[in-house]
Amino acid sequence: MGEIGGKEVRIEEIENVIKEKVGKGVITSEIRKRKVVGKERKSLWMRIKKESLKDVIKVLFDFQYPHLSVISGSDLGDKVELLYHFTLGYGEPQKEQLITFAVQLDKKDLTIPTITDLIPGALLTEREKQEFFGIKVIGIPDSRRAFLADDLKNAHPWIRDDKETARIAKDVHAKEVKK
Amino acid sequence: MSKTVNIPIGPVHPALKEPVRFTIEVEGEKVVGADYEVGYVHRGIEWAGMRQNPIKTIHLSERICGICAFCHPLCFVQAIEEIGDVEVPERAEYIRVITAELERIHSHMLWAGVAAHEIGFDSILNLTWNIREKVMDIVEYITGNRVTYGMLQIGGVRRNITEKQYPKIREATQYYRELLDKIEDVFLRDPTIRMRSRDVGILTKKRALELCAVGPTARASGVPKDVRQDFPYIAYPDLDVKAIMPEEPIGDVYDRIFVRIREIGQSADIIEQCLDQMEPGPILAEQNVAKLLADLQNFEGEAVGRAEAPRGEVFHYVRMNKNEAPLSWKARAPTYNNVQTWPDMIVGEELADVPIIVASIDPCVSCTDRVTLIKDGKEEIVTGEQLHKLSVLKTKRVMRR
Repeated sequence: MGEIGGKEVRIEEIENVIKEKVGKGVITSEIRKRKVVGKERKSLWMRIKKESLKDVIKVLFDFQYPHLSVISGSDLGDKVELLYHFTLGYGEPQKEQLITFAVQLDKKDLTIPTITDLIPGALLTEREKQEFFGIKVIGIPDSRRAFLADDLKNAHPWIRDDKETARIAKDVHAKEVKK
Repeated sequence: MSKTVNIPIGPVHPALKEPVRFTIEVEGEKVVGADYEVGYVHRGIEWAGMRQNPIKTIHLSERICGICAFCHPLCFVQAIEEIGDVEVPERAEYIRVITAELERIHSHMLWAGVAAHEIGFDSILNLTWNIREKVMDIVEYITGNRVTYGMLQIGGVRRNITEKQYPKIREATQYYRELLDKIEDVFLRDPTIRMRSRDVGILTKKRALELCAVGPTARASGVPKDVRQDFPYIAYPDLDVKAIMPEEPIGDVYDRIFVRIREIGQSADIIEQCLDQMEPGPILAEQNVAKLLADLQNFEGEAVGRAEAPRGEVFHYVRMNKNEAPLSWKARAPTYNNVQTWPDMIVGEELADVPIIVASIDPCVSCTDRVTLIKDGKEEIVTGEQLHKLSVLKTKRVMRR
């Protein structure tokens, strides 16, 4: 495992190395810029193929042990998009790079391989995605429910048209009124 | 019959914001296994936030955590501002830093009191919380509120800090700077606290990295992560922030105390630096809320907002698609990452050390509700108070040595 240790790694370099090593897995790649009190800050956003997810993450290890902030997601209608937010270069003033890998899953096949073999700390966030999007994380070492109450067993609240969630949300207030 | 006993701890206690249930496997006094269970208070805040306009969500996100009531909305507004490419006035960015740093001081003081209580020093708990009142007064003085500040708006802040208010803020930072030596005497140089915290609840650097630990928990283990330093946001690029770490980090409870106590002084410095550097100017990009609401309906895109809360990195992801409500919103609090480090810290320690280890990551859970002891097939209910007593007794024991 490489350490950045004082040497600045530019975001363009990270992008190039990923493209060189796992070019086939990258669908789109974009470096976004934002000014904070007049100083420019960049972040890398990549849409990647599901089967290349782990290979792309492995490339990050060449630089430093990547920090996984969280896995977030969006319901895009017929697809669910998962976003893996990583950072590299922490420990050096103003040199941290924000890297996001987005993977789209078809709602007919909501499966994704676990990344806990690479980063054990991904476990809780993967468990959360299983519950909230109804995704199956293949190979997850602990697939217990994490956050939702037992009466939401069949509900996936972050799926927009989830009928069970809608029913429960409606019922909660109905019960209060009856009392 | 197995020699080990499983002890469930938690999840509910009226004083807690985030109830967590632990199952602790003990062999005599020694912990040999530990597991945690979260989710007893999942309120569906993100779900609600995806169904209302972002301005309402700013105030909703303040209520994610009563202590980090500034960092959560701060991340949220930063993400929205990035999506809409809103230029935030510089003075507003400085005011945001001041409020965030005041929040850090009050959170660390609150935590120090809780830690003292867990070890059995209730007089120190009362003393630290008394000292903490000064910063609470200042927070109220500049925001109008003690807990949920209502300070943030998309494109800036809702209240200015006038020059007339500077002396009172400076007086408070000076107060903490003068007291810092005494606080360090109590927490870092006291032999009993040292005995109770040195080499207890160790999280190695390797495991801190693997488990994605953040904030003081990571820094105490030698991982120099601090968003203010690494990925400066709001006015931090102009300020001098260096991640505080022990000289030779071990990753024990003592190191976590060390990091937090030193950060109180650091926050006081940052606030003074802000007061010196802040230029007069506007504090809000768009004053008209109706126009802002209309503008928000044209926002399209995705962005993340990050901030270093007292407990570590807060991370928000927001996606807008030209609708009133965001398409998606994910709020990730630091405890979300740090809870995963508990089993590593607890296993191998004594049962009496569990309260201080659990509290050492500064979760929103600081004491335990009740314990069910399952012994020889019989269930025995032990209250949280009794578990706390175990910890106090251990302190008395080590003091006699």
